[in-house]
Amino acid sequence: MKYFLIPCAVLALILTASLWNAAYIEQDVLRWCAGMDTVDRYAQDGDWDSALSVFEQSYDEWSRRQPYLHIVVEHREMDEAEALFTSARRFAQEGETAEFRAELARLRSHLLFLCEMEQFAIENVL
Amino acid sequence: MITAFARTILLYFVLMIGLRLLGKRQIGELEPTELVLTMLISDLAAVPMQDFGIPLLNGLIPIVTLLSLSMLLSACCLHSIRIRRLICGSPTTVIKEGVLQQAAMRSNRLTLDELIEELRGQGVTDLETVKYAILETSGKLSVLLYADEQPATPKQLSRDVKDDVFLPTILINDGRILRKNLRYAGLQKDWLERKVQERGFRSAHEVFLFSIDGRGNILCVGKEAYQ
Repeated sequence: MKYFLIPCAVLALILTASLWNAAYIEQDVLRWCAGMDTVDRYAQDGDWDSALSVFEQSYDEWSRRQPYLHIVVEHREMDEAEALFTSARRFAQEGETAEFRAELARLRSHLLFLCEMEQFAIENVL
Repeated sequence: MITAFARTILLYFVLMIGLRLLGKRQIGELEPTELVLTMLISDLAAVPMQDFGIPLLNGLIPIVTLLSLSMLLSACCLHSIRIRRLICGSPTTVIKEGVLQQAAMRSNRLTLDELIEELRGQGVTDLETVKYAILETSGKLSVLLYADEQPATPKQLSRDVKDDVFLPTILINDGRILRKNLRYAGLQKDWLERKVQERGFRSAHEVFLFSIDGRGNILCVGKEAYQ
């Protein structure tokens, strides 16, 4: 019986952990995207101080999640997101609205892509 | 570099432990499913070993999943004959009572050349000497000859033969005393040391192999450095 129960338990554990991971990442990404939307509004209004403040908050949260994300997400995707954060910050510091908003949109898409990759979806499986 | 090193060690031990847990069947690849598993696992382990951009978990999870599925299927096969037949198939008799079962050979895509080659590999050159040949689920061919084609046994010749087949128990292995085996054989360490000294060695460390069988016959081989 143990040769039946042990593998079932292991498979159930892997499934549960995978689904939890998908939900955990989705929660974080949606929060960061909401933050990006706020940053975008401030940038449109020309309020760069507020935009940078909210942007840095999002970046700090992202940095805190790095160890965990590096365990579950492909490293090149993580590196690309990090590069987008860095370039967006540079545009914000120089006050280049159009470039900043474009980079922010790219960053937002990339974060959503990271989230989608971890979801249990037919298109991911196939 | 250190990443490659650490991942290789980790994956190696994960594979070793996993295959060990699956048992001798996996190593012997008795069933096609087990052969597939072995092939897949080696490829899965190689990917995170070489590509550091892929999280190690992306390699570990498929490996653990495959091992678990394999164990689960084995457990199901153990409990259900129907599932066993579905997954492992059934042995097929290709020669029955000396007659080639051509339909059975066709259904298994076994050609005459392959059959004869297998028989030849087992020392059979004359098809007429074969009573049964069974193609097992592992792909091996089991050959059973007619009784008068097999070597005669003492029983058939009505001869009494002294039973001289005894399993030896190894008491010293490469200089190390195997205490568990010593206890199993009902012997003491003092006795062992005395026997070792009688054969010209100072201690068990100088002995490469020391075994005793059911009749009390002792085999003692010293290490080359002490001979």
